[in-house]
Amino acid sequence: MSLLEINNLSFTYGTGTAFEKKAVNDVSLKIEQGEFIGIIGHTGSGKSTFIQMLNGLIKPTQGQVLLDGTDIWANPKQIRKVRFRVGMVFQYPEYQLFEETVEKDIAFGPQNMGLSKDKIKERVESAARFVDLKPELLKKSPFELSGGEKRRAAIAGVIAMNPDVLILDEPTAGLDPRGRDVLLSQIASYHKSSNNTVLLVSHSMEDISRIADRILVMNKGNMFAFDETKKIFSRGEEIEKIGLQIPQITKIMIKLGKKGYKLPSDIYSVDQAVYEIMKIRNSQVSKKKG
Amino acid sequence: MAFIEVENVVFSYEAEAEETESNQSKTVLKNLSLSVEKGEFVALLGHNGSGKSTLAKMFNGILQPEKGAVKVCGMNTADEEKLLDIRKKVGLVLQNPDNQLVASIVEEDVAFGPENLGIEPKEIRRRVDEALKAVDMYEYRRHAPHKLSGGQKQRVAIAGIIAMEPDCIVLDEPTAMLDPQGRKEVMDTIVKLNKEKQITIILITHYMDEAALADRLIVLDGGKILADGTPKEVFSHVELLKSHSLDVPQSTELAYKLKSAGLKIDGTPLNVEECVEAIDKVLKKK
Repeated sequence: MSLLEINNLSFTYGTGTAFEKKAVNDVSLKIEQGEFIGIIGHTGSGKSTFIQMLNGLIKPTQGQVLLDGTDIWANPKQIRKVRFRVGMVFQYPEYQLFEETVEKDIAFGPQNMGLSKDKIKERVESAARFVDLKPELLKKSPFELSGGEKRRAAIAGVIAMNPDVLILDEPTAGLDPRGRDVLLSQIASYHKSSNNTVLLVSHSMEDISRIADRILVMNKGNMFAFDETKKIFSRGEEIEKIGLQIPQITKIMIKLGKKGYKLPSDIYSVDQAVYEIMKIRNSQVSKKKG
Repeated sequence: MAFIEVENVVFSYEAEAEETESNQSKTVLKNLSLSVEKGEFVALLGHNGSGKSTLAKMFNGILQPEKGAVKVCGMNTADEEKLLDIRKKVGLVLQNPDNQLVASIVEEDVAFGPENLGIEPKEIRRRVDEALKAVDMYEYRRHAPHKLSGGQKQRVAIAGIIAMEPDCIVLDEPTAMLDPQGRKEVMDTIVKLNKEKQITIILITHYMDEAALADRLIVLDGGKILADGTPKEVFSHVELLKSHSLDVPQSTELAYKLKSAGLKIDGTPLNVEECVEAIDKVLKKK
């Protein structure tokens, strides 16, 4: 049984009004325990609506979300429990910090889960460690932290609930390259050590390709593709056509391929590209010698 | 005399007074000097905390240097009487489009600046139309700003600056909160304003591909200038930039690594086309 099974999921905004719009259209897929899934799609592709249905913030107009085989809406009174198991980090989560201290803010989720004091303390400390917030920051007001620290504190608040599925919506938006790299590697190491499922929404194929096992590409409310990272990149040109940016490296390899060089079409890192191009060079040299 | 002159500028932020243990000020600009000529398209690149946004706010006198001077057309930004003239010449666009729009209709928002300059209504009408056309938002002139996309909002913010007919626009990470489509719209607009209207552009960014579009690239690190030159010159120092944990465009990095592996690649490609051409050239020579 898959951890998350999504069957024919659809959502229509403003049904019966002049603004009726199908934001998500008949999406079906399965996500296994421990997977790292990247979700990509441009503004209006339905990706935010889609993830909000996964933890019951929006009720689908059609279809269902099965968590461990049970429809999350089977008992609407228990939907809160689903939200503890499927944790959501929104865009610019630092705007949602509200407590007097960082510690209290991170503890808010575990407290609502009804955990014991000791357990809460343990959760807060380990969540803070995951996002590399120094212990001395925990006693400060969230508003005294730097922008990057605030964001990490907000993410820690969700991690502290130890959700089976952690969903992050554009967690690196607005960060500089160093902040982005640090946060992505923290998310990757959280995934590795917790073995929880992670869903990461991003505009950047380059970021997603570095850490995701599989990528879901959304386009106009439809599932355009859902496949292993490598296989997604082998469809680079199609993906560009629906208006998504593919890494420069992938574009370079596609263009060299069109010039007749034998190159695999699923390259998305600089080192892979160097390796493949040098392979061509070396075979040229050895042919010459031969 | 250069259009903008920054002379030996020092600036630090005072730490919060109540923070007794860290009661020291943080110096963000350390004796920094640079000049910008009229019509240039300059990109300022650097990490958060490198001093780039502080510098941006000095170009039109929102911040004053602690030591040194910033001059626009010879006018010192410390001279309060000149401040309005300076701000007519140098407009500033910020990161978050939602914080910059004030009116409930696009064209009224764009008219806000010229109205405050006391310009004739007829002339305002002309400027607003022209500014909206320049950023390709004319057909949205009667729309409500809050219903626009991020890229559209940011272009309206830019139109609001253009309507004041400045010589120079400083943009502080104007695309940081936009999606790829919005980023492209805004960057196309910026390039067009520079090439067609000869507006001097100072673009603060941490996107390498945006910086590569400029005529000149200045890299700030720890409040000092780390590199200053054409994008080709600056990005050719791959090791230097990487050692300060700054990126170079992937095309540049690929060419650099192929060179290190022994392939004789010409120059410093900055984009996909240049890179493909350079690699093709080497591989053809059998």
